[in-house]
Amino acid sequence: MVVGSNSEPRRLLIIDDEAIVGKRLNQIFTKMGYVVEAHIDPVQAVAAAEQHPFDIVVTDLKMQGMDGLEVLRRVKKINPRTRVIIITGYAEMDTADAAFSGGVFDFIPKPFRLDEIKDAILRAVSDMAGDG
Amino acid sequence: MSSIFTGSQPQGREGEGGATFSAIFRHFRRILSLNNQVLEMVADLEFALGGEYIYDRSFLKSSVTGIIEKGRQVIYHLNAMSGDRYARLYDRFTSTGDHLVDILAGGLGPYGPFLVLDWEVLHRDLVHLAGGKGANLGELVNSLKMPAPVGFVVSTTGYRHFMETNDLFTRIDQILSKESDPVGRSTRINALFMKAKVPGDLAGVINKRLKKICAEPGGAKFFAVRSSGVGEDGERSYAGQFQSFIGVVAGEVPAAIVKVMASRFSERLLRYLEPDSSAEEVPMAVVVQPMIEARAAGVLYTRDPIAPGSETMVISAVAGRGEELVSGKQSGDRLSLSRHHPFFPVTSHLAPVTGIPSGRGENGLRRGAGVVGLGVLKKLAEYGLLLEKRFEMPQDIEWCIDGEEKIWILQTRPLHVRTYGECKTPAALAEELSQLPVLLSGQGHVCQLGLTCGPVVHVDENTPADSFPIGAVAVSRYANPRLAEIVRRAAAVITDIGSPTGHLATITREYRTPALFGTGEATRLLPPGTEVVVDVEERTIYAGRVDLPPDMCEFGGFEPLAGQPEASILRRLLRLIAPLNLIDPGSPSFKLDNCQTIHDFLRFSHERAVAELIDFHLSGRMVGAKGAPLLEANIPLKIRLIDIGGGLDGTPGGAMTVNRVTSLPFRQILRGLLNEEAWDREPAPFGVKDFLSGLSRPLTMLTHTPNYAGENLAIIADNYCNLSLRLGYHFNIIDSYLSDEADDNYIYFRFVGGFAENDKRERRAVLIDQILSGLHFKVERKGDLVLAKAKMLERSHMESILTHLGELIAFTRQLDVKMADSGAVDRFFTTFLERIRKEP
Repeated sequence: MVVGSNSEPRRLLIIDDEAIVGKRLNQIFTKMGYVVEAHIDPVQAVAAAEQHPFDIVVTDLKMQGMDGLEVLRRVKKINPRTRVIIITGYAEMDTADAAFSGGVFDFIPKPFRLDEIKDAILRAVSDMAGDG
Repeated sequence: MSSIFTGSQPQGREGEGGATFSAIFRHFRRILSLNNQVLEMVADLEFALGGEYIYDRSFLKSSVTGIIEKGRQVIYHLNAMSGDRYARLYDRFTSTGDHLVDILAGGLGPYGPFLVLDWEVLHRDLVHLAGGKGANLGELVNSLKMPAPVGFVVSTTGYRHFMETNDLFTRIDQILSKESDPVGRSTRINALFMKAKVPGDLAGVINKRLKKICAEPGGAKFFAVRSSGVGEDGERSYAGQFQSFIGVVAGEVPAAIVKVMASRFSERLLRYLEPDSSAEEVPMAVVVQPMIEARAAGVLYTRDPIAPGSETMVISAVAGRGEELVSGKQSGDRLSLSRHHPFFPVTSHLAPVTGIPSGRGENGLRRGAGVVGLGVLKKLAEYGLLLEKRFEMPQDIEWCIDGEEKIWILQTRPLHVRTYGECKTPAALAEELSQLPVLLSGQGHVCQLGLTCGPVVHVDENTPADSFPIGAVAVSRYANPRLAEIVRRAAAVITDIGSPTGHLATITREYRTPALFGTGEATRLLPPGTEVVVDVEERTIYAGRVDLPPDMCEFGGFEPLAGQPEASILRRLLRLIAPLNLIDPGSPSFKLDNCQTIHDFLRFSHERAVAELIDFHLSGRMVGAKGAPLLEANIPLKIRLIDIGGGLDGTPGGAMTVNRVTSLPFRQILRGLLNEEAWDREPAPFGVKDFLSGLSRPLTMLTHTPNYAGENLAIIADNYCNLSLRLGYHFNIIDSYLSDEADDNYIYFRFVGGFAENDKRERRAVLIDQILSGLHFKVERKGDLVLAKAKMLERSHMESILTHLGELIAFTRQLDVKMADSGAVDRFFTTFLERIRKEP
C-alpha cells in the first residue's frame, strides 16, 4: 500500500482547473504515501515543477492559461524522466495522438474510477523503476 | 438483433394486426433501450456519489443533458405507441428538466421562490435557502428519521423579500458607508428593523403554519425562533453570533423572526465580518420550532474535544430546558461513553442533586443520581454516531427529553476537533493496517467508499433492524433491499452476492455507509463476532481494530467529501432524478400528474408501454394467427407461433420443433413445460358440481380473449414472448422480455378461469400466489384472478423463473378440481417447491 517506502517518497503533481479533482486525488495519493501537490492554475504548477521537479504529473487537458499538452512539453523539458498522465473530459483521438507523440505516459478520460488512476500511476512508478 | 424487423422473414404470416403490432413493438423496444441508457447514466451519477469516481462539473453537465434528452425520447415513443394518450407528460417533464438545468447553472432549484419552507422538503443541500441549522435539521428528520421538533423555516428568499420590501439592503448599505463606529452603526440599523413591517404575503404564510401547528393535538403553546444563517454551522462558524429566542407565544413569532433577522447586523457580527462586506452578504433564514416541554436537556459531543483520540463521546445533561448548560451557567452531569456498541459508560461526574443519595460504585462510577438514565444515554450515543456518519464529521448535538422520556434532537452542527501532534498520519495508518491479518482482499464491487471498523454481525432479510448493534459491520449473503434499515445503522455492509447498481447499493450511498458487495464469500470468511477493519477503497478486510483518526474527514487537512460543492450539486440533481415516487402501479397515485423525478417518468412510461403492449393482445386487434405454424413438442397442448423477428431460426419449411425456437424467454418457458415431472396426466377426479359450475364460466372467461380463442398462441421475437394459453380449464398469459440488461427484463403473468367450484378455484389461486411470490413475483390476487409481475432481475434469474412458470402451468393445470380442502394448497405448494429446489 505504501509506495516507495524504502527510498524517497515519489513526488506527484496534480493540475486541474476544477478544484475537486485535485482535492480527491490529493486525498488518495497522500494516503498511499506520495508527496502530493495539487494546483488549479497550470502556470503556477509548472513554476512549482521548475523549483522542485516531480516524478509524476497528472494534468487536465483543457485549462485556462495553459493546456495539458503545453504542461506536458514543459515538464518534460524540466525533467525528461517525469511521467505525465493526461486526464480530460473531452476525450478526442487526435488530442490523444498529439499527447502520445509528445511522450505522454497515459491518457485517461474523465470521469474515471479511482482504481483506473491508481493503476496508471502504479504503472508509471514501475516504469520509472526500469529507468535504472 | 438489429435485423429483427427489417431483415429476417417472419415464420408466421402477419396479418394487418401483426404489422401494426410490429410498429408498436418497435417503439416499445426503443423505450426499453432508452430507459436502460438513462438508468445507466443515473447509475454513473450515483456511483460518483459513492466516491469511487472522480468527476467534475462538466461530467455533471453532460450527464444531465443526456438524461433530459433521452427521457424526452422515451415520452415520445410512449406517445407514438398510444396515439398521443400521454401528451401531457411533455410539460411535466420539461418542468423537471428545467429545474435540473437551473441547479447545474448554480440556481436556487425548485424551492427557490418559496418564502417559507415546510420541514418535509428540507435536507442538507438546501443551506442556501434554509441556512445551516434548518438544512441539518431537515436532513436528520427526513433522511435519518430522527425525532426533532418540526415547524417551518422562513427561507433566505423570505428574508430577502422582507429586506427588499422595507428597502433595508440599500438603507443599511448607506449607514455602513457613512458610519464607521460599530455601536453607532448597529443602533441605527436596529432602528430601521424596529420600523420595518413584515410584508403581507410573508406574514400570511407564517401565520397559516403557526395556526396549523397550534391546532394539532397537544399543539405547541410556545415556539423557539432560531437563526439559521447561510454559513452558520458550516465552513465559517457564526455559532452564537446570531440571536435566537425561546418560549415565544404564537402571536409574537413574527416579531421574533424580525429580531433574529436583525441580529444579522448586530454589533458583534459587523465586527466579525469584513469592513466592506455588503448588506446582502450572509443571508439569514429563520427556524421556527414548537417547544418541547423538556424534563432534561443537554449537549452531546460525538468526540471528546479534550481527548479526541480517546474513542469516547461526551454527554452533559441538566434538569430543565438546558439553556443554563449551553450558556455555561450550570455544568450539570458530565458523562463519557464508549463510542462502540453497546456504549458502556467510561466516566461520570454527576452534579449533586438534593434528596437523592449517591455513592461511588466498585467500578468507580457514581450511581443513581444522573439526570437521565443509561437507556437515554445509549440512545443518544446511537443518534450521535448516525449523525456523525451522515455529516462525515464529529458532531455537537443539542438534545432534550420530554416528560415521557422521549429524546428530541434540537440541533446538530460540526464539532471541530483539532488534533495537532497526536494525529496519526495517513501513511502511519496505512502502515498499521499492513500489519493486520487480511481476511478478504481484492474481491467485490465498491458501492460506497469508506474506512471503518467494528464487530461482524451476520444478517439476512429477516434480521430485526432494531436488534442490529449500531456501528457493527453487517455481513449478508444477499444485498436484499430489506436490509435498508440495517444499512442505516451499520458501520459497513459486506455481501457475498449483490451489485453496485442494485437498490441496496443506492441505499448505502444514501446513508454513506461504506459498502462492498459481491465478494463471493464474505459470510464464510468473516465469522460473526470478529473485529474487522473494512477498507472499501482497497477492497480489503483486515482482522483486528485500529483507532481511526478522530476526525476522519479532516484527516490530513481534507474537507469531507460529502461537503464539497460538487457533491452538493450532485445530490441536488440526484434528488430530482433518482428517487422513485411511483412505486405501486396498482395504486391510484400511480399517475401522470404524480411524476416528479426522472425515475418517475421512466417508470410511468415503462409501465404504460407494457400495458399498451398487453392491451393490444387483449383487444383482439391481433389477427391472422391461423396460418401460423404449430409447435411440435411432446406436451399435451398445441401452440401456434407468430414470429415477429428472431424468435425462430431462419430455415424455411419443415416441422417447427422446439430446437428451432430462438426466442430467449419462450425457450425457457418451454423448458418448464417440457419437464415431464410437472405434468400430471392422470384424469382429474371430476364431480358433477364442477361440471355445472364450469358451464357458467366460459362466457366470462372469454370476455377478454382475442380472436384466436381456443388456440394457444405464442407471439415471439428474439428477446420477447407473449404466450396465451388455454390449459385445460385455465387461461394464462405470459408476457416477457428477456435480455442481458436486467433493467429491461420483465415477466407479466396473468392467470384466470377454471371449471371448479368457487372455493376450489380460489384455493388454486392461493397456491399460485404463494408459489409466484416465492419466485420474486409481485402478486395481486382478486378471487381466482392472479396477476403477477417480476421485473429488472438478472437474466439467469429471469430464466429460472420462466422455467418454473412453465412447470407451474403444467403442474396446476387440473389442480383446482383436486383441491378438496385447504390443506391441499399446502401439500401442493410443498410438492412444487421441492421440485424447484431440486434444480441447480
